[in-house]
Amino acid sequence: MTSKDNYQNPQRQSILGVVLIFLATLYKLVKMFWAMAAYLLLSNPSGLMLSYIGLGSVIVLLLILGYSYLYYLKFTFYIDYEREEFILQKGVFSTENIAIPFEKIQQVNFKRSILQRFINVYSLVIDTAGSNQKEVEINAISKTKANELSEILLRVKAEAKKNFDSEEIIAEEKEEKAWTFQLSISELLKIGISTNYLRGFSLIIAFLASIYNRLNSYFKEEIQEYETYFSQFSDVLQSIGFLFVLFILLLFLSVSITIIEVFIKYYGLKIVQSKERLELEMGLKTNTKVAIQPRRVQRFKVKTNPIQKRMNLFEAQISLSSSEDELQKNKIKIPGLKLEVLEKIKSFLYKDEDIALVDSYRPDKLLLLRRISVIVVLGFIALGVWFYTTFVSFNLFLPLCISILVLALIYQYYAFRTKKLIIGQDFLKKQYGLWTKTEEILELYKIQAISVQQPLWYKRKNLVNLSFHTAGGDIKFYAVSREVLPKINFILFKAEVSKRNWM
Amino acid sequence: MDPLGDSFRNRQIDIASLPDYEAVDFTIVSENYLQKINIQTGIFMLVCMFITGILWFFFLDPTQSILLLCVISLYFMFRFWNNYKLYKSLGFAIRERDVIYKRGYIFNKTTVIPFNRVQHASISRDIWDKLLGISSLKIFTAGGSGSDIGIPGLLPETALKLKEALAHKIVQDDF
Repeated sequence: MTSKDNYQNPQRQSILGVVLIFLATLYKLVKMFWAMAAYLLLSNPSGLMLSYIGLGSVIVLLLILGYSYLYYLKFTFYIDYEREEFILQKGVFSTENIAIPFEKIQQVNFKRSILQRFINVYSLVIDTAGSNQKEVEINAISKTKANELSEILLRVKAEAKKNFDSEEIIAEEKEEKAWTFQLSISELLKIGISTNYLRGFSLIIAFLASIYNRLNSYFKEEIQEYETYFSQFSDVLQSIGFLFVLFILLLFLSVSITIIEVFIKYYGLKIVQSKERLELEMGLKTNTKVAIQPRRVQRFKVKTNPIQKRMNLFEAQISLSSSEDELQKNKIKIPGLKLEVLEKIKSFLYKDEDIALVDSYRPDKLLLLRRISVIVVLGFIALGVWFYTTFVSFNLFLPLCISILVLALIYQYYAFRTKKLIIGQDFLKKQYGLWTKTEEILELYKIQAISVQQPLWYKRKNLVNLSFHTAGGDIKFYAVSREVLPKINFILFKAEVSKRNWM
Repeated sequence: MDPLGDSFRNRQIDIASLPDYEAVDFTIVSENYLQKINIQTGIFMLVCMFITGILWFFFLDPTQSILLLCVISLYFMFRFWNNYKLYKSLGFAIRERDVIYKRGYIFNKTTVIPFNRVQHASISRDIWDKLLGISSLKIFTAGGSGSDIGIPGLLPETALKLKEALAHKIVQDDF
């Protein structure tokens, strides 16, 4: 097997690969059956039994060896220069044929485990932007071959890329700073206090509940003797005082933990916008430094709640395309942005936002109905639990249950009202959330694929569920009228005619 | 810095006149695929029946076993019916610029992948595919598992042809 033909003909991996496959398969089997084997050996087997076990394991080992050899024989790869593809075939019982077009190759990496080091082979991994990255891995390849192959692949990849990347000359101009934003300590404090209000809230509820419990148990005991009355009452007061101190301590602890968390993650948050990119720096312990280029942004999410909105704090989440560099974080969270800064970031990322010709869609009432029915079922379950345990009296349980139910229904109704899908000429927006108001933005040409779902029970009402797949995750919108479908055709059209690089 | 350069135009698009993805003729997949899923369900059914038999013999009294048997048969009747419906609902279509794949009766789902968003395609055959002479074509995008599709029950030649056509389209569309 020479490599003079530039890997045009199917090649096998190094024969030492058999060892790797053998050991990997053996390891899997041992992991599955070690318990049984241990049991057999520990159960004090007779000599005959032992010889059977020995014979069995020899047969199994031979079978694995045979399998490994077959796997080795069936595992071939080559480069098809005509079709500009790298092709990998593998599998003994089920075969898989994978073809990777040159320009989809992102990176060629070498890896080496201890075992591979020991038998002096390398593992060659070809990264594509596709999801099943692990599939393209050649486990045992000699160093010279690995070098040759990666060199060829990178070369043909560069050639294939050149043809359409030329428009995008990466100009290393002198970068002018357009603006800078820095988060002050007082703002960090504000974020810390306003983010984890739920933990504080639950603490308050727990505190009130425990006090109620104490008082309740005290008044329930019918106390007739006056002497004990006072001593017991002071006991209760004491325990309430103790609870109060505990509550204050816990509240303080919870708030300070959040503040510390926020400080560790976001201390020194600084955003600098230059001509080409947005540079972000933050963090106390692990300093995160990211350069965000508009074209790499797949999804942009803005979150706020009424408290934070009052303090002019908005949180932005940016999803970048998830390939190229696995070390880089794919989702970046930036808290504590002022509205003006947020607008600046938006206008930098999405230069040509067009507000004309915008259509918005809302989900059908069916969705609300479904949510409500879930709540009603939960109510019944609560009733059932109460029936069997009776942990509180019924005339306390009933109003509590009903008020929670009514609150949940009102909440669901208004939350339902906030759901909105907006489709413009270049953008798609999804808005939702009653308390935490969220807005997700996606540029239409960055769509990877669209799925339209229709369960059987949507047919009569002509409803569909939409999923917009992007390289930074999906945006889903449920139970929308079929009238939206022409817009789906439009979005597909937008993606299909676009020649812009989406990552 | 304008990536569109000289060719920049911005005419309004009449959305109603755009090609409708639902208006295509879907190609159905080979009947052998129905056989494959029926065989798989059948094997599973046999296993369940076998376990029921063992339970009957050792643990359960006749009424319980008959009840269990009824539940199992109802379930598998549903499964076989669903297999048939699923097979009937499967279909794919290739347009000039994208591939469309629909599947599912109870949960019908149609996915459209533009060719210029396809990362790579692969053909896979498991043991049943080999016995029945069919293949399945998997198409991967950068959109993650939600948007990747696998079209089952294709004749091996068709699968190969489709894969090549796709590879050709991917390269062509990138210019």
